[in-house]
Amino acid sequence: MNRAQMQVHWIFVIAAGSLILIFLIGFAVKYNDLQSAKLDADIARYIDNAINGLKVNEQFKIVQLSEITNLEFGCDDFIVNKNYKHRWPENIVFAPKNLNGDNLIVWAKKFELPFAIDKLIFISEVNSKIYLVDDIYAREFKSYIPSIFNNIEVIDIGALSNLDKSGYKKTKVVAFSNSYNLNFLESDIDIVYIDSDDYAFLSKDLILGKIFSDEESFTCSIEKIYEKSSLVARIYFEKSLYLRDCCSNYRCNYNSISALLRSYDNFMTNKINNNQINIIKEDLVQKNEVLFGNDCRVVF
Amino acid sequence: MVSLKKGQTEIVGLVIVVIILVILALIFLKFYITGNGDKDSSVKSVQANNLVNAIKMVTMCNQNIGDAIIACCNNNDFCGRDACRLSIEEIKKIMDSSSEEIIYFEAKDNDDLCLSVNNDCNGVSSSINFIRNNDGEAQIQVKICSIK
Amino acid sequence: MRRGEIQIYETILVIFFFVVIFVFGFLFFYKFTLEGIRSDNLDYEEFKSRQLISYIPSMYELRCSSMLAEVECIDLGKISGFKKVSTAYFDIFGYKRVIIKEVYPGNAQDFIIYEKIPVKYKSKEVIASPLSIYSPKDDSYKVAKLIIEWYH
Repeated sequence: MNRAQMQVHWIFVIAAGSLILIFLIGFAVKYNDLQSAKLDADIARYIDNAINGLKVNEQFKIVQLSEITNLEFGCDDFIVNKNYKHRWPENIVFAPKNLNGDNLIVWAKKFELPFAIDKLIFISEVNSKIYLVDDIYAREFKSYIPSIFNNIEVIDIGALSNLDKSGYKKTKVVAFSNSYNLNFLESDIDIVYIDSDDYAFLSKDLILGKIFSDEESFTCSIEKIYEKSSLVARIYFEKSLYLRDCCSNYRCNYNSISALLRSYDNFMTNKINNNQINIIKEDLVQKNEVLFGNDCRVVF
Repeated sequence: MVSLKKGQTEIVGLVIVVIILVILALIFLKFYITGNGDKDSSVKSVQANNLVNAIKMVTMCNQNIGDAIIACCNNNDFCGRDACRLSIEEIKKIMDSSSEEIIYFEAKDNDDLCLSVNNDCNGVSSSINFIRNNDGEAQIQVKICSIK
Repeated sequence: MRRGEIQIYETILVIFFFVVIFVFGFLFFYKFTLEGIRSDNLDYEEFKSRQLISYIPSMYELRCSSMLAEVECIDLGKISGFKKVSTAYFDIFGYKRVIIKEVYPGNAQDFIIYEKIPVKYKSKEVIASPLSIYSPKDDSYKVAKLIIEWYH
């Protein structure tokens, strides 16, 4: 082979080899992306299964992931590592919009108003800190929350100015009164005020929801609670009609409780948010107790 | 530098192609042979727990089978009949009608076997359920037998 | 043909066969990856449908309760109400038929509490579990079979 032929030969080798190498590198990159997406899907399914498992019995646990994962919680879904979207519209979740970590603390708690509606899912992360400004409400809530949530702490308002954020990816301060002035806190700290009026109206579980989640997620979950409450009320309404047909007598009258359940359903369907729901709730419990006292089949 | 003869060069090329094909075949084999985990045992565990819970709650003579089982453990009558015989009959009917599988049921009072339905076997057990009333207590359990 | 020409044709043929092997290899691999993903998805759907035999008895919409205390059974008084709102549960149940069939003491009617069957489906898988049911009519606990038919 002469020199020119050698040169052509080598140019050909380099060109062909480069093409093959580019092709192989491109394939390797695409394969890596695919495996990454597959892993994200596996993580999403693992979280879904862990949480749905907790829902069967009311429980709390730490869900450990295989690696540090970025989770973005939306209304009906969550996104893993900004890549894979997993839908779970049936779950009522109170979680911060963004979570970054590998240890999730999850609590599946029964929500009643007054009958059991669903299990609410509260999610926090071990490296996110929540401070409750010390007062009687804060202490009450701290005792209400399971001890597994060791990232939630009651703090004196005076100690807030020397807040140690080191070691925590996210910090949130919750005050059970609008009278606390927390504007001195750094801008990267989330502040939540829970009004004393809210406290009177909302049940403890919904206040927990405010503590654990962001405004957007909270609003969405409240909507879901209204919808679910309406569905359950309709089921109980039909049950009251069934009992009226099969089991009513001079002692066991189901008409008034049926009417109340219908009102309750209307309130929930129209998402009426006032103390009237509390009055209906108390009334329902009282009427159910009367049925129990009269040795009748109870509605709930 | 060793210079190869033409035939040797072509054999080297052929060998490389064969190696690539073998690697591809191995990758294919890896995807093809995927073991199926035992999904059945987790389902059977749920079925067993649901069954034992259903059995203990069944209404009989204005009481429930749990009361009949405790009466059996105390060697008493239930509903005008021998509690053990009645319990075994009814539990057998329940198990036969609710599942096609062979199921073993046992009731114990502090490790003393009060009654059993069918023969003990290897299989998936339910958790031990405790039943109590004013006359005493017992522990009941079912086992869904593995088909061998 | 001159020797150089033969060599060029030889090289072209080798490259051609190499490319063909590569293309087949990658098509094969792509098909397998796709099948793997489909199979994973199907496994997951199957897992979710099996999970229903523990999930359904725990649903407050169907579960027995007495003075707000939970009892582990399904309340037949709630079934007619649940059927009326069952369309809202597609996200949980999907394409399935859920039946509660009383088996003890007698063979009473079957209750289809949820039904959504696709127009076309390849196969149907059935999973069943015994269940305690409460009848408010006769104030008695009976045994039923929870049957879940999964269409896919």
